[in-house]
Amino acid sequence: MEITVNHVSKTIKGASILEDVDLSWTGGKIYGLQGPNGSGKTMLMRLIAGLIRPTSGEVLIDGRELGRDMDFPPSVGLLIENPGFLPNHTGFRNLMLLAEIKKRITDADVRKALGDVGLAPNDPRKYRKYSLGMKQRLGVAAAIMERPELIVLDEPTNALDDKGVERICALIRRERDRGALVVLTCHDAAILDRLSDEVYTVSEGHVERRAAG
Amino acid sequence: MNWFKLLEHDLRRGLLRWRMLLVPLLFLLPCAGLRSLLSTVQSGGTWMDHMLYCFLGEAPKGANGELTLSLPTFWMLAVGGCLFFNLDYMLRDLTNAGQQILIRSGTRRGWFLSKCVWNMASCVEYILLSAASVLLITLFFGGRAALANTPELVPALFHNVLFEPAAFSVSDMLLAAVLMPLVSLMALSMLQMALCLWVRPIVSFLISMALLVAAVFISSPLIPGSGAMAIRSGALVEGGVSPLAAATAALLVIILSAAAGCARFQHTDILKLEE
Repeated sequence: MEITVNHVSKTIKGASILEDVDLSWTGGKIYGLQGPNGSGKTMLMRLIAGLIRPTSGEVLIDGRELGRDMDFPPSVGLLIENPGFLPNHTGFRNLMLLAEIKKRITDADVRKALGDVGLAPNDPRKYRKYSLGMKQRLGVAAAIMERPELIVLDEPTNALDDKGVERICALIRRERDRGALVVLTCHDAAILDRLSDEVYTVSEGHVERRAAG
Repeated sequence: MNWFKLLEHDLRRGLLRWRMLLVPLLFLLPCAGLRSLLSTVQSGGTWMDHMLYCFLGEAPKGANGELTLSLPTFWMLAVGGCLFFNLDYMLRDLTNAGQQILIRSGTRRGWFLSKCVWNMASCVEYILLSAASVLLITLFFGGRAALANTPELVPALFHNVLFEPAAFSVSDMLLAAVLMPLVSLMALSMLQMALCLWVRPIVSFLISMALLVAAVFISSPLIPGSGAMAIRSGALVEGGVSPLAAATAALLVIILSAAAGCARFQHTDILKLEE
C-alpha cells in the first residue's frame, strides 16, 4: 500500500483546515500525527480514509485517486473519534454485522480480534452497557479485524488503563509488521514517539515531518 | 460487497424505531375530531370514513369564491408526521454505525441508494401503521371495520365540494385515502432526504412543510402533496387532481431526488453532525 497526498488543501465554511499538504507514505510503517486540538489531524485522517474530499489537490492510494477512481481505499480499518456501534447488540454481534458486508473473515476471526483487544467474545452485555474503555477496544477490534492494508486510528488509547494501552500498542506493532500502513494520533506524546516510525507535526493546517524520539 | 447487506442494515435499524409508537397518537386527534360529524348523521362510521377524514385535506382555495388562510391541520399532521419521523435517520446513521458500514461497502452511491429504498419502505411502514391505528381507534369509538364509506357523511366531509350523499367505490377510496397519500409521502420524503445533503435537516423539513402549505393553496398535481388530499382526488370528485398525473409527478420527484442525492453524496464531506 502506498498513499500519496499531493498539494492537498481543505477549507470548511471559509476556514482553512489543511494547507498544501504533501505526503508520501508506504505500507509496513506507523505514521504518527501530533498536534494540538483543532490543528487538522483528524481532518487529514478523514481525507485519507475518503470520508471527506479535498478542496484542492489529490489523495492517491496505490496510484488511484480517491474520489475519482474509487470512493474509499479498498482495504481500510477506521477508528475516528467515538466509535459508532449499534447499542442494542453485543460487541461480537456488532463486529459480525460489519464482517458480513465484505465476507472476508469468519466468526472465528471476529472472536480472535475481540480477544486481541482484551474483550470476551461471549460477553452477553449489549454495547450500550460497555464502559468507555470497552467501547474503545471494540473500535480498535473493528479497525483491525479484517487485516486491512490501511489502518487509521484516532486516539486509540483513549480511556484505556496502562495494561490496555500496552495491549493496543502491541497490536498496532503487529499490524505494522504484517505490512499494514498505520496512521495514528495519540494525545500522549511519549506513546506516539515510541510507536511511530515517522512522526508528523500538524499545526495550523501545515504538516511537517520530524524525527521520531 | 453485497448491496443487500446495506439494505438489510437500513431496514432493520431504520424501520424499528420507538418513535413509530407515536403514530396512533397522531391519528387519534383527527379520528376524535370526526366524532362530531358522525353524530350528526347518527353513525359510528367505518374505517374508511376515518381514513378519508385523516387524509381529507382541504378543498381548493377559492372554490367557493372565498380565499381563506386556514390550513388543514389534521392532514398536515398526518403527512408532516411521516416526514418528521424520517428526517434524521440518514445523517444519524452516517455519523454512527453507518460510517463503518459505508467504508466497508466501498461505494457512496450504493449506500445512498440503500437509504432511498429505506426511505420509501419507511413511508409504507408509516401508512400501514396509520391504517392499523385508525382501525383500532375506529373500533374503540364503536365504528365498523369496513372498507365502505357512510354515504350520509359525504356532504359534511366533502364540504363545499360534494353536496349529495354518495357511496364511493372501495378501489377509488383506497386510491384517494391510502395509495395516493403513500405515493405523495414517498416523493416528499425522498426530496427531503436529498435536500438534507445541501441544507440542515431542520431547514429541509421546513421546506417540505412549505411545499405542503403550497399544495393547500395551489391545486396542481405537479406540487408534491396535492395528490395526498382525498377531497381533491379526481378519483372521488369531478375535476379533481388526476391520480395518474399526481403519481407520475411524484415518481419524477422520487427519481430526480435519488439521482441528485447520489450525485451530491459522491462529494459530501462526512463529518460529525455538529461540524
